[in-house]
Amino acid sequence: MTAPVAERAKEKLSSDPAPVAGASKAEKLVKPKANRPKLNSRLYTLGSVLVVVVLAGLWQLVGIIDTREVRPGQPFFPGWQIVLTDTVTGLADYWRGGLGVESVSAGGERTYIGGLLAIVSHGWDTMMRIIAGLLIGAVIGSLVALVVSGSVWGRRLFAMPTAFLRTFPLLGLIPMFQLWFGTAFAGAVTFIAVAVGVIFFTGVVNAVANVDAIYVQNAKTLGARPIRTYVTVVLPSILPEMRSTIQLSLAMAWTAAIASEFVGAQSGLGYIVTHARYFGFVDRMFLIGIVVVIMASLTYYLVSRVTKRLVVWMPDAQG
Amino acid sequence: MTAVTENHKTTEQVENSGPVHGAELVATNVNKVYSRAGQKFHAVEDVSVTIKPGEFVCIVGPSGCGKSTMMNMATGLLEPTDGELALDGEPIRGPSPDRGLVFQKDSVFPWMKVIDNVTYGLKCRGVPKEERMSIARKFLAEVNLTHVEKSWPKELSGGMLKRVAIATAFSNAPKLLLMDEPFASVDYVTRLQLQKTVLDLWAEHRLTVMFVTHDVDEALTLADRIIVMTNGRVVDDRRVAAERPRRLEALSTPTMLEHKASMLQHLGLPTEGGA
Ligand SMILES: Nc1ncnc2c1ncn2[C@@H]1O[C@H](COP(=O)(O)OP(=O)(O)OP(=O)(O)O)[C@@H](O)[C@H]1O
Ligand SMILES: [Mg+2]
Repeated sequence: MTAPVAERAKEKLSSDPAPVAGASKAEKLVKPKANRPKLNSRLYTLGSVLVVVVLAGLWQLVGIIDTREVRPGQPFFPGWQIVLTDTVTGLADYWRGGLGVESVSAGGERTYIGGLLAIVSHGWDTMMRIIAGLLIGAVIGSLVALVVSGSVWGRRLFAMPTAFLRTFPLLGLIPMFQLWFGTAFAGAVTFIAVAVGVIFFTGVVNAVANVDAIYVQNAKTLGARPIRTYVTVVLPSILPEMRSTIQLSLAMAWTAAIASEFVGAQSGLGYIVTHARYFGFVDRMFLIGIVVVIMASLTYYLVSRVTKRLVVWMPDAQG
Repeated sequence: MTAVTENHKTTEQVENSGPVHGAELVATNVNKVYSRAGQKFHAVEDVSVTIKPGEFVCIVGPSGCGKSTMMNMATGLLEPTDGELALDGEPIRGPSPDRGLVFQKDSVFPWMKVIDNVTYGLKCRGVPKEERMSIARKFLAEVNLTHVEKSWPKELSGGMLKRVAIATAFSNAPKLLLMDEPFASVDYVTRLQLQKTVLDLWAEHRLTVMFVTHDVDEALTLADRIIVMTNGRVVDDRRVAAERPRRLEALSTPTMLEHKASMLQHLGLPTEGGA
């Protein structure tokens, strides 16, 4: 990205409008940016696709070289010829019936449709837990943080517990949460919310501490009262840092969701993985892993796109 | 790259017109002690000055002599360790829109477009939208920034940002305007133009201005009165009676050269020959 940035900087310099010059120059300054990054991003996309293809090829290669099996017919490293066929139909085991497709346990056949429905329905369950957990955790974590960092005493009192919470191995507490809130929806959501809430809390507290004092002072000398200062100065200036907090919490939400489904859950992608493990279905675990990667990447992409709008004002906004 | 526009009202036309809007600033035995790395540091020492309503005062002094500290105390952002500052007899406690500050560092909010920055103070005070837009546009025009009204601050140069800050401060119609080295990062020609802009605005609105600068010539161009500070103390306080507008030639009259020589002496510079 260095070359285009340098070039853009040049454009800026040369079209820096003289104070008296008319409006046209200032507008030119914005326009030429549009095309070049597009071409670049296409190149990057192509590159990423290539990397994915190479990785997939490597996986196949490992499967060819190492032919050991967990049990007869179940290779340690199942190639794509298995993962994209038998594995998909095998996942039909986890479809609970409906939509005209009978479940396997009720006598239905293992079909691609059944497999896909299983992936979608369990993926949906996981997704709902993540969304609920993320929202609850983000809102509560941020609100508590804003209240705490709004006062000097709050900041002092919470400095230590905050640092402590950040390093706390929350994942180890999954069983406790399940005892408290059950293994179904509520347990998983609460757990995700707590994990995400901790990240948001520490993220917001830190971001608020990093707000440049000059902006707060400027607002005050212009006549802004504390609440307006908080809303119009502190909140926008923590947004860039909050973007990375959101990404971080998203990663945490996925980890927390899958992990909580490993223990005791009756649905969700993590549940399939645990179940597959009992029977040594490496291929199923592998395929679910890929589904998780794709879904997580999609959520990353969506969140990063949506939040990018909040920081268009940032100098050298990352494209 | 910059041309001085001719469409400003000239200083002569508006000087002494209209009521004085500015307030009187009185500093009484003001002290500021910082503790730096466990050690006490006397940044401002026993400063007492009275600045009259509508006066244009420049503060000159070497780096670190306490100019910004003085300004921040006058704004109310910083409390004196000892002594008191008052505006029109009212003790200064905390910031107020009556006392505007153009900061030494960049203070323009990067997350607001230029126009929203300029209207910010007006919005805080509940000025209706139409009115605040027209006020802001007027001052943006005064600093020649009409064409970037809708731009993000990141799209402006350092000097342009300074002008946004100036327009913002003026829009808020303070009774005392504090300017802390506002033109330090501005090229020479733009600086001359901005000096004219500030003088025009000052003459028109008749507010009290305290203007910090390193530049003795700038002080002589702008001020009714120049206060020289070194090591936290006022070491010189003089009136500059020269007529306005002061063009470049005005700086080389015998009186001005005398002012300059004796100020430089106060600043610790040995003057060769003198005037
Ligand atoms: N927050 C602070 N804590 C400790 N010392 C400070 C603080 N702010 C300023 N000082 C010290 O006080 C002295 C005066 O600082 P001040 O910023 O007022 O100088 P200045 O005259 O504005 O200088 P310049 O022309 O470089 O802007 C300096 O020696 C500085 O190091
Ligand atoms: Mg300073």
